[in-house]
Amino acid sequence: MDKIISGWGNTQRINTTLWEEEISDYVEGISAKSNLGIRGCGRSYGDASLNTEGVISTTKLRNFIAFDSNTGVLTCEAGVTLREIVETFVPRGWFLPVTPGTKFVTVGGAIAANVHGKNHHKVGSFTEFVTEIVLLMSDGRLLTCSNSENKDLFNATCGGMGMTGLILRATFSLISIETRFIQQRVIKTRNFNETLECFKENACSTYSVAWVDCLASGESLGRSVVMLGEHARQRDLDTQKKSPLLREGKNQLNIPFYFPSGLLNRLTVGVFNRLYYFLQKEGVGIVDLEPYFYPLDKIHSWNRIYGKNGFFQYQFVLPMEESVAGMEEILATISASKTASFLSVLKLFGKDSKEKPMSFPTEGLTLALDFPNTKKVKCLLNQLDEIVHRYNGRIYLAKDARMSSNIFKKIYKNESQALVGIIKRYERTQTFQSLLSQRLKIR
Amino acid sequence: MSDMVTPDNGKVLIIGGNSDMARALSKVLAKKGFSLLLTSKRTDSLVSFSEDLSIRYDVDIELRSFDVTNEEQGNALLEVWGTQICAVVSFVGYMPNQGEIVENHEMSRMVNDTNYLCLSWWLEAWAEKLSENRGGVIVGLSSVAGDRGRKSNYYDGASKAALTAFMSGLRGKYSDKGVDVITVKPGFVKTKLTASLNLPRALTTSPENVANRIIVAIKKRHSVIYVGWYWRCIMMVIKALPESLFKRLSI
Repeated sequence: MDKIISGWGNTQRINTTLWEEEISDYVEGISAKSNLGIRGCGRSYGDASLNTEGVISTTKLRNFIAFDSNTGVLTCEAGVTLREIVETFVPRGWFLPVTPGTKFVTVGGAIAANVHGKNHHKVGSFTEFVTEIVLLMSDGRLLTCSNSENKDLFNATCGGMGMTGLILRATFSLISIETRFIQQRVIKTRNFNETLECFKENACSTYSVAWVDCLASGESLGRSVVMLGEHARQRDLDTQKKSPLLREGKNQLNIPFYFPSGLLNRLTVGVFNRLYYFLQKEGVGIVDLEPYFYPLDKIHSWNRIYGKNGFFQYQFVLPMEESVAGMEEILATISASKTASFLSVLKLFGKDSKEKPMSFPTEGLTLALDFPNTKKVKCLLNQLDEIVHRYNGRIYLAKDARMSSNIFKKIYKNESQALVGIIKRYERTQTFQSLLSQRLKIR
Repeated sequence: MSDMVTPDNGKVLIIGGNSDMARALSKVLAKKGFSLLLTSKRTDSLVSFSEDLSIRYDVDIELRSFDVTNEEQGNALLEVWGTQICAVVSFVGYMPNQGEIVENHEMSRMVNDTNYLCLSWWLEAWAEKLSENRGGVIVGLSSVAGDRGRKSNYYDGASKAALTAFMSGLRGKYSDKGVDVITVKPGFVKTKLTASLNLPRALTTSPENVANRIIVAIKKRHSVIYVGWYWRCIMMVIKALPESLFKRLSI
């Protein structure tokens, strides 16, 4: 079926043939195709799920296959969403071990982007909990990949952005929870150094994330609202909560149309930031896991707030040793450019598996920024690319929509060569491609 | 749901489980907490479906092969599961191209056996079983095609007409024995069976809607339902037409 699709940032729309079939049809028909993208929920911000020649959609691969209620090990098809997993298993006392900031992501997408959450500093990325992946290769072979079987392909697929094959199913572990609530602690910091100190002092906190006011300058550069979290035990709750695992109320808002472009600008964002920073109350409280982990999911199609031109999300990580100087330079550059990032989220990354070549996280600090799609912003981001590279940092492909192949090859030189080497070991033809892989010239 | 049909009272037996309408009803029932005994002539395409439902809604789904023309299979089901069922819903329907059936006696026998004759054995037997235990409901999928024989569809229509009449009698027999008998008459439904037909959109409903209407009918203890409701009016008009006129219509 011909469809117009885009990434979540809406900066590029393409008309392509979307293939929405069952597993058996893909297995039978894949060898006839030569150039295909793969798309789950299409929540990557750029062009990772776009291909003008054709795109395989995993929307019909929605079955749960097996669940062990003693160990929490789940096997499911790759199109199952994290939302379905949360809705099905939280009431039974199980939660995702690692979750990104939206539930509207497929299991396949979570693996291909090797998503991380607010707890990377403690447990790593999503694929740390994945024990097996079944891949459909371009010639119709089904390959089981794990730490003991086709291990290099397993590692390349984790964060491989759909270039290694079509993930059909995966096995991974859920974690056991007593209640669906999070004991949250909010701390306000006055500048970037204080924010960093706060992260370090609370490194043993299960979850931590900081909302950063990127428009604050001078002494307030990098002032933040830090939100720490722990899974609430039954004893932490009021006795009034009789069903600690069941959800009360499900109001969903919707943005039914595109807002005018330019609505989010330095003035409006500046006002919002000031209000947000001052209105946040410090202290401890109990919140449901939905607003804690998925604050924007309540607003369906929130990306329309940026208007039809869309927006870029720019996420990078800087190694710990370089992070202070690097972040200060980046924040100062953004501030000087007079562009406004509507949402700036800072997280601490712990050690990540070095065996997965394309895995984005590395021990250090990661900042994710939202910018409207303008010429000025594109210039700024090119500048930021150079700064990130200078500080030995990396840029997250799941968010990228505009990085040049030049800077990509500098940042991911060894890793992309390793990825290509592994793919060539298993594939004779170059079937799985996207506008991302073509733009970055990954091959 | 009516008092007799609750997850605590027993499982729901689905016959002809492979159809789109059966799958839609299975999903709704599993979501309500019902364990299912899902049966179909061929079960291989139901394996991943039933496993998913079982995990998703934390209910037991037993999958069994059951061809209504196979007496051994039918009797085995009654023997093994007889006391564990509180509702039986049949979606059985064999509808080959009418052109192929004419002069093919084997095929027309199959249509009759599948859609009415053999099915009637099991509907009666299960009604009896339910009345011996805790009561329950028997739901049978007939069709508006059974309301009047049309020249474009009278073999299937005849089998559905027989089923409708049979279920009417069954309803009467068990009305004071704690077993409700519900006849469901869908009009046009968008399913894999009708995928190649050009059905008028305004008169075509979805398998999910049929499933929801069945749930309401069980809850409210209806006898005969049409899906969509407007088919009751359409068929009233069709049935009222004098034969001298009707025989000349190209419908």
